[in-house]
Amino acid sequence: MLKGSLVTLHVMLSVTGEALFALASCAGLMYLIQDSLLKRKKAGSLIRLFPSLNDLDRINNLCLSWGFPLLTLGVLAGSLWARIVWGSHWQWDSKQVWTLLAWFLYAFLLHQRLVMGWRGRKAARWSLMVFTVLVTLLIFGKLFLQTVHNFV
Amino acid sequence: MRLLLIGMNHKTAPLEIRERLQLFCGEEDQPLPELMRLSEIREALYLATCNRVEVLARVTDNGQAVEGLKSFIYRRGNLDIAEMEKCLYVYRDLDAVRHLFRVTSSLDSMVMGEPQILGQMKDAYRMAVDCRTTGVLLNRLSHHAFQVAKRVRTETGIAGNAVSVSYAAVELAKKIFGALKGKSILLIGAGEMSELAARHLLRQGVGSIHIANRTYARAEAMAAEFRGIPVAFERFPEVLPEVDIVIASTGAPGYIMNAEMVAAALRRRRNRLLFLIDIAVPRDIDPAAGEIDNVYLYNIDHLQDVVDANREGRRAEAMKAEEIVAEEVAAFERWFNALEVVPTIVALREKVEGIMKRELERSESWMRNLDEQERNRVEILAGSIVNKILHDPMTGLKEESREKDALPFVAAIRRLFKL
Repeated sequence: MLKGSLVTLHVMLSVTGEALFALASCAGLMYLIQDSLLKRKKAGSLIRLFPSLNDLDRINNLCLSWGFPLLTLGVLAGSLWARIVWGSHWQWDSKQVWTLLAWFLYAFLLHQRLVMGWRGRKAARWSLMVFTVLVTLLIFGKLFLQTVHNFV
Repeated sequence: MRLLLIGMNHKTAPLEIRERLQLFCGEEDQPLPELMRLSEIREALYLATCNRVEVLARVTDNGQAVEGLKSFIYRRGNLDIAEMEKCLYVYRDLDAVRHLFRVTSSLDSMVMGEPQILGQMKDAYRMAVDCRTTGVLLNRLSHHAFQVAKRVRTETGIAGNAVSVSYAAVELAKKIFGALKGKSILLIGAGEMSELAARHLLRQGVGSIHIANRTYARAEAMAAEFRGIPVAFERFPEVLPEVDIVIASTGAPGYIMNAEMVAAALRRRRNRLLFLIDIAVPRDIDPAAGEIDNVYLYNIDHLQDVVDANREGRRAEAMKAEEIVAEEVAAFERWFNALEVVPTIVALREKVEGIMKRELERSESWMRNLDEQERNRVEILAGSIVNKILHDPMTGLKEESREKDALPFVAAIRRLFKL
């Protein structure tokens, strides 16, 4: 019973967290396109379809600051469950390493946003970059590495 | 149709003439009652704006009415007839409908797609309604024109993009900041265009406005007008971190704002976006400032390019709008043709005879008990009741159309009998 709900919680939290990161990177991409159009004074008709830069930045920020705690809780739930099932909280499995990397990268990004006042273009670029790196790593991991965490 | 539109606009008449006409058509001096005194005129609508004067009328006799309306306008404008004749255009029937639709949808405006004309048209219509100079035709036509304007506005991008420099600045600001509520602006230097941009921005709900000027008294005077905060000219870099939009338009020979200044301000405002509008010639802001992340620098040429591109876009959209107008003119024509006397009489006959036929069919069950002769009698009875009832309205309608103005009657019959 406890095992079941823990794993559900783990999956729900992690997936929501990662979906929010994906959304953040989408907002980041749209931000970058619009930013470059505005900078190059090419504010044509395409630009009318996008939300304003400020709104995109706000979406990016909101997604990061909700995604990060959700991912953190998801990892904690997973590690509690792993303690019960596999006997230890952490196995240095490839998927776990990937998650740890994601966690650190987003922690860094959030820190820069909150403390260093990263905003706008830089924040958008980084959130897009981090997400791309993570997705690439995930695909590579799936292709070449063994994992005990074989669900996603 | 006997619809007549006579008028002049910015394309056909020079300003002096339009001016003089307008002068004589002030609000206290409504021309509609005078128009209605012309014997050929049944309904009338009068529209006067800074760019056009139009008289739309339903008339009984085209030729005489044109002369009547022309002389009316000559008298109004107090102008030489030959001079006036060159500026006037006359449209009849469907051409008048098309012209009215184009005017109301702002296709005929000086700045195509400008939104005021619809409001002015509505005012003109309201005025005509108040003076009781509209009837079936002009009521329908006016409402149809408003619908066309609405369709054009929603289905085409004709009014979509800013076509003035100051408004282009506002649109860009919205692309950057989203809602402008609570944002603050800094005006450096005063000028017509920067004041106009500031006014537009204030209308969008911009929160506070700082004003810096070389002559502090001028800054104070403007601040009083805009309810802003005057800033000593040399201290404007100090407010830079607090503002989101800067409009620079000083007469300074060189740059008054360099990239370092902007970079420093940006650090202090924790990289919040900054929109710099430089409408001064020579430029006030070092173009290098525009290279900084989160800073958007537009000078007068950039804004003009936006405006030109938008104008071009509007022209393309205008083609679509013309198609809508053509469609709607056809729709109006269909409605109008139905208002002729003869088709109305035919339609009325058909409807009533249809009712009679159906009722006879429904009585089939008990009529079967009757013999042939009796059945014929019942049918004849029903038919003659129908004919007697229809006789008076139909002859009345024919007489009206011969002597007077049948339009209101036709319209009433169509409505009452749901034809």
